[in-house]
Order: sequence, then structure tokens, then C-alpha cells
Amino acid sequence: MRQLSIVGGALRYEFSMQMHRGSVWVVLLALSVVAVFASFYNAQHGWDRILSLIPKEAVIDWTVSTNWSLSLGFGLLLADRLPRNKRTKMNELFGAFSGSPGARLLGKYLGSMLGTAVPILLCYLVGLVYIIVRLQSVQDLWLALPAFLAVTIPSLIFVGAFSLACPAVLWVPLYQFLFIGYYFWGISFYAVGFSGIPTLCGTVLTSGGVFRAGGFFGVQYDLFIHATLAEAIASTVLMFACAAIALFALWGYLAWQRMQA
Amino acid sequence: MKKFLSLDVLRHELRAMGFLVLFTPLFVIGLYDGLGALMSVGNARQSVIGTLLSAGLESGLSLAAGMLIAWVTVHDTAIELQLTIPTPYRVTALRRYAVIGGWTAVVAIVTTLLLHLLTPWALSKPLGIGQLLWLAPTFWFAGVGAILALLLRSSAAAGVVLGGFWIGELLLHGYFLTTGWMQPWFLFATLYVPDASYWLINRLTLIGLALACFVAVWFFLRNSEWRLEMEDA
Repeated sequence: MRQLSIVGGALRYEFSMQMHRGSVWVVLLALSVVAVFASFYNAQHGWDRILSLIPKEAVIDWTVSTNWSLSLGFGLLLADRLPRNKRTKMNELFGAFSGSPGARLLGKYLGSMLGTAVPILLCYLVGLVYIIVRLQSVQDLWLALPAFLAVTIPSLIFVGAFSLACPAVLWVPLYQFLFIGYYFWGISFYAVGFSGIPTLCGTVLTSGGVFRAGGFFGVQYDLFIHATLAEAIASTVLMFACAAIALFALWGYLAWQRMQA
Repeated sequence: MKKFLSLDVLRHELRAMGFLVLFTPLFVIGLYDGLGALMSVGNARQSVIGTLLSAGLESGLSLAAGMLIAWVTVHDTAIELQLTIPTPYRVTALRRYAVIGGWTAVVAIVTTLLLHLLTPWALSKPLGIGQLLWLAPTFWFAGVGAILALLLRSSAAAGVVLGGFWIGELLLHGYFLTTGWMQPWFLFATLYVPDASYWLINRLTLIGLALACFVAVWFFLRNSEWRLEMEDA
């Protein structure tokens, strides 16, 4: 019970901090514009692209676009959360508390993720309203919730865990550089037209969401991926498993640091 | 000017920023060139390896420089003290940019010399003018990174925008290259169209934009107190 209240306290504090950061809103809203262009506009149909899609395709397409565009900002904005404790000397203060550091870490992870996910959710909802207005239909709109849970949430959990854990051992600007590199190499590589270099892009380890969109909802995304249900499940399990490993490693590293102090 | 570039002062600024600002450009070049070396062992196509080595300079080093500049622009553990000393803070900031820029230039020039000697097929331009391969995008990312960090009051947020430009221009390279008015703004012209007629104009435009950003930073930092309002402070 006490551990739960520590998780809740840390969660509330981190959530509130992220919600009050003006730059989180500005930057994620700017990236929303990219998502809007990626999903609702193309050279062939212009802004009428959505009319060439059936409602189910429009909803899944919008989910994948928001996941693809906004998870970049999500990861980068979480990268400075843990080093902030060190910079503001909070670690020493937390060390004097009796509560479990693991519970505080979990609260920090959940709170900072939820706080940063709020602008993403708002952007997603506005896009759904646009889909309803343009298609004049609410058919298959119920898919929005399972699509968000199956496509976007695993990516955010995966990206969030690594963005919290890696800056514990990596300098923040260096981690941010590597994260952008991963994002390009692991998610967008084929779309850029490069080939000949080994990449995670096109494997179930990519956090882009195309496997889960294809396997769970039957909307096949890229020309080179025809995802099956088994691949979608594998992709989801891997996202959660990798996030758990990253958080567990971070917990171990922080415990080791406390023992050294 | 003599004091501005005095070795003692520069060494002090380096200590204040942390030696990781020296390590990062080396790491980036090592990452790209190391992968290139591995691929050559694996008998990858020479053109792919050449693209990778060239990309290390044009896209990798430039993004890293932008990230570093954005970071040092808003992070200073002794900022309150800095604002009380006679040297204006903007002079200190400029000095720090000079340290990062100077070191990045050293790494880039040595890398191009080594590539010129060992893998001349990787470079599409002669050694002299070929320095614009890294200079223009690095300068652009640095200038835009600095002003964004100040305007957004956060290096993390500036990093998102820089990353967005970086990935966006790579993804939409076809659009940039085929749209006349976009061609001078494209950051990776050497990677995609090294022989284009507008290549030099493109490079000079990027440098001009970067200069405009640094002028804006100079004026922004004239009001030193604004620097205290950073989210990361």
C-alpha cells in the first residue's frame, strides 16, 4: 500500500511537470502538423486523399501516422527527465527518504510518459474528428481505441523506457543524437530510399507500428511488409519486453550507484 | 579579440561545458566510419559505403553539432554567477560556440583528408570546395539549434525540432530536389545531387541562414536575464 502511494505521488508530480512544460506542447503540436500531412495529404489527391480510403483504413492510417511522427518528440522530450534529478540535487534528497527507489522510478516513468502523451492523445482525437467530418461517417470509428492501444501505446512504452534509462549512462545530447539515428535507421530507413545497410526497419523490432497495424487490423502499410497476426503479437510482446528490460537495468544501475555513494 | 581567444579562457570554457563536447564529434565520425569499415569487410557495394562515409560528415556531424550547441546554450550550472561578471554573457556564449565549432572543424577536416587519401571514391568534390560538404549543414544546425534552444527555452525541445528537420529533409528529399524554391534550403545536397548546378548556391544559402540565426542569438542574449528563464535552468 505504501509503495503504491509512492508510485502515485511520483506519478502525479512528474505528470504535472510535463503538462506545465510549454515546450512539450509547442513541439508536439508542431510534430502533429507532420502527422496531418503524412496521413491526410499526398501529391496525387491533395487534401482529398482521405476520400480515397474506407473508414477503417483512414482510422488506422491516422493512428500509424501519429505514432510515427509524435514518438520522435516523445522520446526526445523524456530524455532529460532522469538527469534533471541529478542536476537539481534531488537524488540526495530522495536518498534520505524511507520509500522504495523502485516505486519512485516507476512513478517517474509512468507520470512523465502520461504527461507527454496528453498532447499526442489530443492530436489523435482532433484527427478523428477530421476523419468523421470528411468521410461523413462514424463507421469503424470504434477501432480508434483498440488501434491507439495496440499501435501507439506499445511504441510509447518502448521509446519511453529507453529514453528514461539510457541518459542514466549517456550524456543527454549524445543520447538524443543516437535516438534520432535509431529513429531514422530503425523506422524510416526504407522510406528514405537507402538500401544495402543492415537495419531494424522491416523487422518486428521496429517501433513504427506497421506490423501491429497490419497484423491486428489488416491494413498493410508498406510495400515491403505484409504483417501476419503472429508478427503483430511478436512485435507487441517485444516492445513490452524490451521496455521492461531497459527499466529493470535502470533500476539495477541506480541501486548500484546508491551503494557506491 | 586576443582575450576572446586566449588559450586559458578557452580551456576554462571547455571545462565548464565538459569534455564530452570534444568526444561527441569523434564518436559520430567513428560510428559512421566504423560501420563503413565493417561493410567493406562484408563486401558491400562501394557506392553504398561511399554514401555512408560522406553522410557521416554531411548529416551526422552536422546534427551532432546542432545538438551540442543547443545544449550549451541553455545549460550552465553557474549561470547566476556568469551574469554578475563584467564580461557580457553573450561573449561567453559565443566563445563556447567557437570552441565547439573549432573542434568540429578540426575533426571534419582531418576526416576529409583521411577519406581523400584512403577512399577518394567516397568524396564527390575536390578537397578545397568539398569542405562545404560539412561546413554548410553544420553551421546551419548550429545556428538554428542555438536560436531554437533560446526561443523554446529547452535544449530537449530544440533537439526535437532539429531531429524533425533532419529526418524530414531526408524523407522528403525528392520534394526538395524537384521544387525550385526549396533547392537552396536542402541540407543534404551533396548526398543526393553533388553535381547540381545550384550546389554552391545551396551551400552559401545555408551559411547565410546560419549567420542570421547567430545574429538573432547575439541580440537575444543582450538581455541576459532572459537566459534565467530557461526550463532547463
